[in-house]
Amino acid sequence: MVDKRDETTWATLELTRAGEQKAIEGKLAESLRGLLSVDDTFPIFVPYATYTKGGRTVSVRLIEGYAFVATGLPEIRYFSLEKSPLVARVFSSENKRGMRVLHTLTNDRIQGMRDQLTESLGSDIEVGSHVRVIGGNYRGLEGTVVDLFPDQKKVAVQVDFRSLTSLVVIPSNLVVFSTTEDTADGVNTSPSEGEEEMSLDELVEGGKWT
Amino acid sequence: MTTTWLQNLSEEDLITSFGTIFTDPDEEDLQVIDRVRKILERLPSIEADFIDLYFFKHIRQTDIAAIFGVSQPTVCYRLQRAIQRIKYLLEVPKIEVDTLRSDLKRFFTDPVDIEILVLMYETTCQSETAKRLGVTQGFVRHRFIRSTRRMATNQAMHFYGEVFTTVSKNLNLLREVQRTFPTIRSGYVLDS
Repeated sequence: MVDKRDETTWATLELTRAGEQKAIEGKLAESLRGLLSVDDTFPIFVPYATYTKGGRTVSVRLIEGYAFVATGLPEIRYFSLEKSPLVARVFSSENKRGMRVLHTLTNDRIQGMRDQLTESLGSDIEVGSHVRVIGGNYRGLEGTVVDLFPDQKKVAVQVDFRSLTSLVVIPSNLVVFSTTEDTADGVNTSPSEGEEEMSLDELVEGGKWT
Repeated sequence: MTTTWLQNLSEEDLITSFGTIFTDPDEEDLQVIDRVRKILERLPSIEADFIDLYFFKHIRQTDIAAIFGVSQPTVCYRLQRAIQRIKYLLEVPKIEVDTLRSDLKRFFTDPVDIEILVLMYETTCQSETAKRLGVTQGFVRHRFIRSTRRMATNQAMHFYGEVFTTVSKNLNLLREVQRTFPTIRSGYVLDS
Protein backbone atom coordinates (compact mmCIF):
# COMPACT_ATOMS: atom_id res chain seq x y z
CA MET A 1 0.00 0.00 0.00
CA VAL A 2 1.29 3.41 -0.96
CA ASP A 3 2.10 5.73 1.90
CA LYS A 4 -0.23 8.73 1.74
CA ARG A 5 2.82 10.99 1.78
CA ASP A 6 4.07 9.37 -1.43
CA GLU A 7 0.85 9.90 -3.38
CA THR A 8 0.73 12.42 -6.18
CA THR A 9 -0.52 15.87 -5.22
CA TRP A 10 -1.82 18.39 -7.67
CA ALA A 11 -1.35 22.09 -8.32
CA THR A 12 -4.40 24.10 -9.36
CA LEU A 13 -4.30 26.49 -12.30
CA GLU A 14 -6.86 29.19 -12.94
CA LEU A 15 -7.22 29.54 -16.68
CA THR A 16 -7.46 32.64 -18.82
CA ARG A 17 -10.11 32.89 -21.52
CA ALA A 18 -7.56 31.55 -24.01
CA GLY A 19 -6.78 28.68 -21.62
CA GLU A 20 -10.46 27.80 -21.34
CA GLN A 21 -10.78 27.80 -25.10
CA LYS A 22 -7.84 25.39 -25.34
CA ALA A 23 -9.53 23.19 -22.71
CA ILE A 24 -12.75 23.10 -24.73
CA GLU A 25 -10.78 22.18 -27.84
CA GLY A 26 -9.09 19.36 -25.92
CA LYS A 27 -5.63 20.83 -26.49
CA LEU A 28 -4.86 22.35 -23.09
CA ALA A 29 -3.00 19.39 -21.58
CA GLU A 30 -0.70 19.20 -24.59
CA SER A 31 -0.01 22.95 -24.41
CA LEU A 32 0.69 22.84 -20.67
CA ARG A 33 3.08 19.93 -21.11
CA GLY A 34 4.90 21.95 -23.74
CA LEU A 35 5.13 24.97 -21.41
CA LEU A 36 6.39 22.78 -18.57
CA SER A 37 8.79 20.90 -20.88
CA VAL A 38 7.53 17.51 -19.75
CA ASP A 39 6.70 14.44 -21.82
CA ASP A 40 3.21 13.29 -22.73
CA THR A 41 2.96 10.94 -19.76
CA PHE A 42 3.19 13.73 -17.18
CA PRO A 43 -0.16 13.79 -15.34
CA ILE A 44 -2.43 16.72 -16.12
CA PHE A 45 -6.17 16.70 -15.48
CA VAL A 46 -8.41 19.04 -17.43
CA PRO A 47 -11.99 18.55 -16.21
CA TYR A 48 -13.50 19.21 -19.63
CA ALA A 49 -14.69 16.76 -22.24
CA THR A 50 -16.37 17.26 -25.56
CA TYR A 51 -17.85 14.57 -27.74
CA THR A 52 -20.21 14.21 -30.65
CA LYS A 53 -23.51 12.42 -30.34
CA GLY A 54 -26.04 12.11 -33.13
CA GLY A 55 -24.18 14.73 -35.12
CA ARG A 56 -24.30 17.24 -32.27
CA THR A 57 -21.42 18.29 -30.10
CA VAL A 58 -21.85 17.88 -26.39
CA SER A 59 -19.56 19.62 -23.97
CA VAL A 60 -19.16 18.48 -20.37
CA ARG A 61 -17.35 20.86 -18.07
CA LEU A 62 -17.13 19.47 -14.61
CA ILE A 63 -15.54 22.62 -13.30
CA GLU A 64 -15.03 25.60 -15.50
CA GLY A 65 -11.88 27.68 -15.63
CA TYR A 66 -9.45 25.37 -13.86
CA ALA A 67 -6.93 22.68 -14.65
CA PHE A 68 -4.76 20.51 -12.43
CA VAL A 69 -1.12 19.56 -12.85
CA ALA A 70 0.73 16.90 -10.85
CA THR A 71 3.42 18.28 -8.57
CA GLY A 72 7.00 17.06 -8.53
CA LEU A 73 8.67 19.68 -10.67
CA PRO A 74 10.49 22.69 -9.21
CA GLU A 75 7.79 25.11 -8.02
CA ILE A 76 9.19 27.92 -10.14
CA ARG A 77 8.17 25.99 -13.25
CA TYR A 78 4.54 26.00 -12.16
CA PHE A 79 4.62 29.73 -11.37
CA SER A 80 6.24 30.44 -14.74
CA LEU A 81 2.98 29.25 -16.32
CA GLU A 82 1.45 32.58 -15.24
CA LYS A 83 3.59 34.24 -17.90
CA SER A 84 1.81 32.24 -20.58
CA PRO A 85 -1.45 33.46 -22.14
CA LEU A 86 -3.23 30.29 -20.92
CA VAL A 87 -2.89 30.57 -17.14
CA ALA A 88 -4.18 33.49 -15.08
CA ARG A 89 -2.72 32.27 -11.81
CA VAL A 90 -1.36 29.30 -9.98
CA PHE A 91 -2.95 28.76 -6.57
CA SER A 92 -0.40 29.51 -3.87
CA SER A 93 0.18 31.24 -0.57
CA GLU A 94 3.11 32.72 1.29
CA ASN A 95 4.92 30.73 3.94
CA LYS A 96 6.29 32.14 7.20
CA ARG A 97 9.40 33.35 5.47
CA GLY A 98 7.38 35.18 2.86
CA MET A 99 8.15 32.72 0.11
CA ARG A 100 5.50 31.74 -2.36
CA VAL A 101 4.50 28.07 -2.09
CA LEU A 102 2.11 25.96 -4.15
CA HIS A 103 -1.30 25.04 -2.81
CA THR A 104 -1.90 21.38 -3.54
CA LEU A 105 -4.89 19.06 -3.81
CA THR A 106 -4.72 15.41 -2.79
CA ASN A 107 -4.89 12.68 -5.37
CA ASP A 108 -8.20 11.51 -3.89
CA ARG A 109 -9.79 14.84 -4.80
CA ILE A 110 -8.59 14.61 -8.37
CA GLN A 111 -9.66 10.98 -8.62
CA GLY A 112 -13.10 12.00 -7.37
CA MET A 113 -13.34 14.57 -10.14
CA ARG A 114 -12.15 12.05 -12.71
CA ASP A 115 -14.78 9.58 -11.58
CA GLN A 116 -17.50 12.21 -11.79
CA LEU A 117 -16.43 13.19 -15.28
CA THR A 118 -16.28 9.56 -16.38
CA GLU A 119 -19.75 8.96 -14.95
CA SER A 120 -21.13 12.02 -16.74
CA LEU A 121 -19.71 10.81 -20.02
CA GLY A 122 -20.53 7.13 -19.59
CA SER A 123 -24.24 7.60 -18.87
CA ASP A 124 -24.83 8.81 -22.41
CA ILE A 125 -23.10 6.00 -24.28
CA GLU A 126 -25.21 4.21 -26.87
CA VAL A 127 -24.74 1.89 -29.85
CA GLY A 128 -22.64 3.73 -32.43
CA SER A 129 -20.86 5.93 -29.91
CA HIS A 130 -17.18 6.44 -30.56
CA VAL A 131 -15.44 5.62 -27.31
CA ARG A 132 -12.04 5.29 -25.74
CA VAL A 133 -11.19 2.34 -23.47
CA ILE A 134 -9.63 3.43 -20.17
CA GLY A 135 -8.80 0.06 -18.58
CA GLY A 136 -7.79 -3.53 -19.32
CA ASN A 137 -5.83 -4.85 -22.31
CA TYR A 138 -7.45 -2.30 -24.61
CA ARG A 139 -6.60 0.70 -22.44
CA GLY A 140 -5.96 3.80 -24.55
CA LEU A 141 -7.55 2.36 -27.70
CA GLU A 142 -10.65 3.67 -29.42
CA GLY A 143 -13.56 1.92 -30.99
CA THR A 144 -17.27 1.95 -31.68
CA VAL A 145 -19.95 0.63 -29.34
CA VAL A 146 -21.82 -2.18 -31.11
CA ASP A 147 -23.92 -3.56 -28.28
CA LEU A 148 -25.06 -2.70 -24.76
CA PHE A 149 -25.59 -5.07 -21.85
CA PRO A 150 -27.16 -2.80 -19.24
CA ASP A 151 -28.00 -5.66 -16.85
CA GLN A 152 -24.36 -6.67 -16.68
CA LYS A 153 -23.16 -3.06 -16.88
CA LYS A 154 -21.07 -3.95 -19.91
CA VAL A 155 -20.70 -2.74 -23.47
CA ALA A 156 -19.40 -4.44 -26.61
CA VAL A 157 -16.87 -2.36 -28.49
CA GLN A 158 -15.50 -2.93 -31.97
CA VAL A 159 -11.86 -1.91 -32.31
CA ASP A 160 -10.42 -1.81 -35.84
CA PHE A 161 -6.77 -2.40 -36.57
CA ARG A 162 -5.07 -2.76 -39.96
CA SER A 163 -4.93 -6.54 -39.72
CA LEU A 164 -7.75 -7.31 -37.32
CA THR A 165 -11.21 -6.30 -36.27
CA SER A 166 -11.70 -7.07 -32.61
CA LEU A 167 -14.94 -7.23 -30.66
CA VAL A 168 -14.51 -6.91 -26.94
CA VAL A 169 -16.96 -6.80 -24.04
CA ILE A 170 -15.87 -4.31 -21.42
CA PRO A 171 -17.39 -3.07 -18.16
CA SER A 172 -19.26 0.17 -18.89
CA ASN A 173 -17.12 2.12 -16.46
CA LEU A 174 -14.03 1.36 -18.53
CA VAL A 175 -15.18 3.26 -21.61
CA VAL A 176 -15.60 6.99 -22.10
CA PHE A 177 -16.54 9.08 -25.07
CA SER A 178 -13.64 10.06 -27.27
CA THR A 179 -13.05 13.73 -26.67
CA THR A 180 -12.21 16.47 -29.13
CA GLU A 181 -8.54 15.79 -28.58
CA ASP A 182 -8.99 12.55 -30.42
CA THR A 183 -11.67 13.53 -32.90
CA ALA A 184 -10.62 17.07 -33.57
CA ASP A 185 -11.84 17.33 -37.15
CA GLY A 186 -14.52 19.95 -37.51
CA VAL A 187 -15.81 19.91 -33.96
CA ASN A 188 -17.74 22.90 -32.75
CA THR A 189 -18.28 23.08 -29.03
CA SER A 190 -21.71 23.95 -27.80
CA PRO A 191 -21.62 24.36 -24.06
CA SER A 192 -25.36 24.69 -23.85
CA GLU A 193 -26.03 20.96 -24.03
CA GLY A 194 -24.95 18.37 -21.56
CA GLU A 195 -23.00 20.65 -19.32
CA GLU A 196 -22.55 19.51 -15.79
CA GLU A 197 -20.70 22.17 -14.00
CA MET A 198 -19.53 22.34 -10.42
CA SER A 199 -17.75 25.01 -8.49
CA LEU A 200 -14.20 24.53 -7.30
CA ASP A 201 -15.43 25.02 -3.74
CA GLU A 202 -17.85 22.09 -4.07
CA LEU A 203 -15.07 19.88 -5.23
CA VAL A 204 -12.58 20.76 -2.54
CA GLU A 205 -15.00 20.81 0.34
CA GLY A 206 -15.74 24.45 0.81
CA GLY A 207 -12.42 25.60 -0.55
CA LYS A 208 -10.42 23.77 2.04
CA TRP A 209 -7.01 23.24 0.54
CA THR A 210 -4.64 20.52 1.58
CA MET B 1 19.94 12.76 -37.49
CA THR B 2 18.15 9.81 -39.06
CA THR B 3 21.52 8.35 -40.03
CA THR B 4 22.91 8.70 -36.49
CA TRP B 5 19.82 7.13 -34.98
CA LEU B 6 19.87 4.31 -37.53
CA GLN B 7 23.55 3.64 -36.86
CA ASN B 8 22.91 3.57 -33.13
CA LEU B 9 20.23 0.91 -33.40
CA SER B 10 21.59 -1.96 -31.37
CA GLU B 11 20.98 -5.39 -32.89
CA GLU B 12 21.09 -6.87 -29.39
CA ASP B 13 18.35 -4.67 -28.05
CA LEU B 14 16.61 -3.47 -31.18
CA ILE B 15 13.26 -2.63 -29.58
CA THR B 16 14.71 -0.47 -26.82
CA SER B 17 17.13 1.37 -29.09
CA PHE B 18 14.40 1.92 -31.69
CA GLY B 19 12.17 3.37 -28.97
CA THR B 20 14.64 6.09 -27.97
CA ILE B 21 13.18 8.58 -30.44
CA PHE B 22 9.74 8.14 -28.90
CA THR B 23 10.97 9.14 -25.43
CA ASP B 24 10.94 12.90 -24.99
CA PRO B 25 11.30 13.51 -28.75
CA ASP B 26 12.91 16.71 -29.99
CA GLU B 27 12.10 18.40 -33.29
CA GLU B 28 14.38 16.09 -35.30
CA ASP B 29 13.01 13.00 -33.59
CA LEU B 30 9.51 14.11 -34.54
CA GLN B 31 10.57 14.28 -38.18
CA VAL B 32 11.93 10.73 -38.01
CA ILE B 33 8.75 9.58 -36.25
CA ASP B 34 6.73 11.11 -39.06
CA ARG B 35 8.79 9.16 -41.61
CA VAL B 36 8.32 5.96 -39.62
CA ARG B 37 4.57 6.57 -39.50
CA LYS B 38 4.46 6.82 -43.31
CA ILE B 39 6.57 3.67 -43.72
CA LEU B 40 4.08 1.64 -41.64
CA GLU B 41 1.83 1.36 -44.70
CA ARG B 42 4.62 -0.57 -46.47
CA LEU B 43 4.91 -3.19 -43.74
CA PRO B 44 2.85 -6.36 -43.35
CA SER B 45 -0.35 -5.14 -41.70
CA ILE B 46 0.09 -7.08 -38.46
CA GLU B 47 3.59 -5.69 -37.98
CA ALA B 48 2.32 -2.18 -38.69
CA ASP B 49 -0.33 -2.76 -36.02
CA PHE B 50 2.26 -3.94 -33.50
CA ILE B 51 4.56 -0.95 -34.15
CA ASP B 52 1.63 1.45 -33.96
CA LEU B 53 0.33 -0.03 -30.71
CA TYR B 54 3.68 -0.49 -28.96
CA PHE B 55 5.55 2.67 -29.92
CA PHE B 56 2.84 5.17 -30.84
CA LYS B 57 0.07 4.15 -28.42
CA HIS B 58 2.30 2.77 -25.65
CA ILE B 59 0.38 -0.52 -25.28
CA ARG B 60 2.33 -3.26 -23.50
CA GLN B 61 3.49 -6.34 -25.40
CA THR B 62 1.41 -8.59 -23.13
CA ASP B 63 -1.70 -6.54 -23.90
CA ILE B 64 -0.98 -6.60 -27.64
CA ALA B 65 -0.56 -10.37 -27.37
CA ALA B 66 -3.93 -10.69 -25.60
CA ILE B 67 -5.70 -8.50 -28.17
CA PHE B 68 -4.31 -10.41 -31.17
CA GLY B 69 -4.49 -13.85 -29.58
CA VAL B 70 -0.78 -14.55 -29.94
CA SER B 71 2.02 -15.05 -27.42
CA GLN B 72 4.15 -12.21 -26.06
CA PRO B 73 7.32 -13.68 -27.65
CA THR B 74 5.52 -13.60 -31.01
CA VAL B 75 4.78 -9.91 -30.51
CA CYS B 76 8.42 -9.34 -29.56
CA TYR B 77 9.70 -11.22 -32.63
CA ARG B 78 7.36 -9.39 -35.02
CA LEU B 79 8.34 -6.03 -33.51
CA GLN B 80 12.01 -6.83 -34.10
CA ARG B 81 11.32 -7.96 -37.65
CA ALA B 82 9.27 -4.82 -38.30
CA ILE B 83 12.05 -2.59 -36.98
CA GLN B 84 14.54 -4.29 -39.30
CA ARG B 85 12.20 -3.62 -42.21
CA ILE B 86 11.68 0.00 -41.15
CA LYS B 87 15.44 0.47 -40.80
CA TYR B 88 15.93 -0.85 -44.33
CA LEU B 89 13.13 1.29 -45.77
CA LEU B 90 14.60 4.39 -44.12
CA GLU B 91 18.05 3.60 -45.50
CA VAL B 92 16.99 2.92 -49.07
CA PRO B 93 15.72 6.00 -50.91
CA LYS B 94 12.12 5.85 -52.11
CA ILE B 95 12.26 5.75 -55.89
CA GLU B 96 9.22 5.60 -58.14
CA VAL B 97 9.35 2.44 -60.23
CA ASP B 98 8.86 4.38 -63.48
CA THR B 99 11.78 6.64 -62.60
CA LEU B 100 13.93 3.68 -61.64
CA ARG B 101 13.13 1.81 -64.84
CA SER B 102 13.78 4.88 -66.97
CA ASP B 103 17.14 5.60 -65.27
CA LEU B 104 18.25 1.98 -65.60
CA LYS B 105 17.34 1.96 -69.31
CA ARG B 106 20.04 4.55 -69.91
CA PHE B 107 22.70 2.19 -68.57
CA PHE B 108 21.51 -1.35 -69.28
CA THR B 109 20.63 -2.68 -72.69
CA ASP B 110 19.12 -6.02 -71.69
CA PRO B 111 15.51 -5.52 -70.49
CA VAL B 112 15.82 -8.62 -68.31
CA ASP B 113 18.56 -6.96 -66.25
CA ILE B 114 16.32 -3.93 -65.78
CA GLU B 115 13.32 -6.00 -64.69
CA ILE B 116 15.43 -8.03 -62.28
CA LEU B 117 16.71 -4.84 -60.64
CA VAL B 118 13.25 -3.29 -60.46
CA LEU B 119 11.74 -6.40 -58.88
CA MET B 120 14.66 -6.83 -56.49
CA TYR B 121 14.19 -3.20 -55.43
CA GLU B 122 10.51 -3.84 -54.81
CA THR B 123 10.76 -7.22 -53.10
CA THR B 124 14.40 -7.80 -52.02
CA CYS B 125 13.59 -11.42 -52.82
CA GLN B 126 15.42 -13.43 -55.47
CA SER B 127 12.93 -16.30 -55.50
CA GLU B 128 9.96 -13.95 -55.87
CA THR B 129 11.73 -12.11 -58.71
CA ALA B 130 12.57 -15.42 -60.40
CA LYS B 131 8.97 -16.58 -60.04
CA ARG B 132 7.53 -13.39 -61.54
CA LEU B 133 9.95 -13.44 -64.47
CA GLY B 134 9.72 -17.19 -65.05
CA VAL B 135 13.47 -17.77 -64.72
CA THR B 136 15.63 -19.62 -62.21
CA GLN B 137 16.73 -18.14 -58.91
CA GLY B 138 20.37 -18.76 -59.89
CA PHE B 139 19.89 -16.70 -63.03
CA VAL B 140 18.41 -13.82 -61.01
CA ARG B 141 21.24 -14.00 -58.51
CA HIS B 142 23.93 -13.98 -61.21
CA ARG B 143 22.42 -11.06 -63.13
CA PHE B 144 21.64 -9.06 -59.98
CA ILE B 145 25.21 -9.34 -58.65
CA ARG B 146 26.70 -8.54 -62.03
CA SER B 147 24.48 -5.46 -62.54
CA THR B 148 25.11 -4.16 -59.02
CA ARG B 149 28.88 -4.45 -59.49
CA ARG B 150 28.70 -2.64 -62.81
CA MET B 151 26.76 0.25 -61.31
CA ALA B 152 29.02 0.49 -58.25
CA THR B 153 32.09 0.97 -60.44
CA ASN B 154 30.50 3.52 -62.74
CA GLN B 155 30.55 7.15 -61.62
CA ALA B 156 27.30 8.01 -63.41
CA MET B 157 25.46 5.15 -61.71
CA HIS B 158 27.10 5.52 -58.30
CA PHE B 159 23.80 6.43 -56.60
CA TYR B 160 22.07 3.31 -57.87
CA GLY B 161 25.19 1.29 -57.08
CA GLU B 162 24.75 2.21 -53.42
CA VAL B 163 21.02 1.58 -53.49
CA PHE B 164 21.41 -1.94 -54.87
CA THR B 165 24.38 -2.71 -52.64
CA THR B 166 22.05 -1.99 -49.71
CA VAL B 167 19.39 -4.21 -51.29
CA SER B 168 21.94 -7.01 -51.66
CA LYS B 169 22.81 -6.73 -47.96
CA ASN B 170 19.16 -7.09 -46.98
CA LEU B 171 17.97 -9.92 -49.18
CA ASN B 172 14.52 -11.28 -48.28
CA LEU B 173 13.92 -8.53 -45.73
CA LEU B 174 10.69 -7.39 -47.35
CA ARG B 175 9.41 -10.91 -47.91
CA GLU B 176 6.40 -11.63 -45.76
CA VAL B 177 6.23 -15.12 -44.37
CA GLN B 178 2.56 -16.00 -44.54
CA ARG B 179 1.16 -17.07 -41.22
CA THR B 180 -2.45 -17.67 -40.36
CA PHE B 181 -3.33 -14.76 -38.13
CA PRO B 182 -7.08 -14.22 -37.83
CA THR B 183 -8.44 -11.05 -39.43
CA ILE B 184 -11.40 -10.88 -37.09
CA ARG B 185 -11.72 -12.09 -33.55
CA SER B 186 -15.27 -13.25 -33.78
CA GLY B 187 -17.55 -13.49 -30.83
CA TYR B 188 -16.87 -11.31 -27.89
CA VAL B 189 -13.60 -11.28 -26.08
CA LEU B 190 -14.16 -10.55 -22.45
CA ASP B 191 -11.75 -7.99 -21.10
CA SER B 192 -11.19 -7.11 -17.44
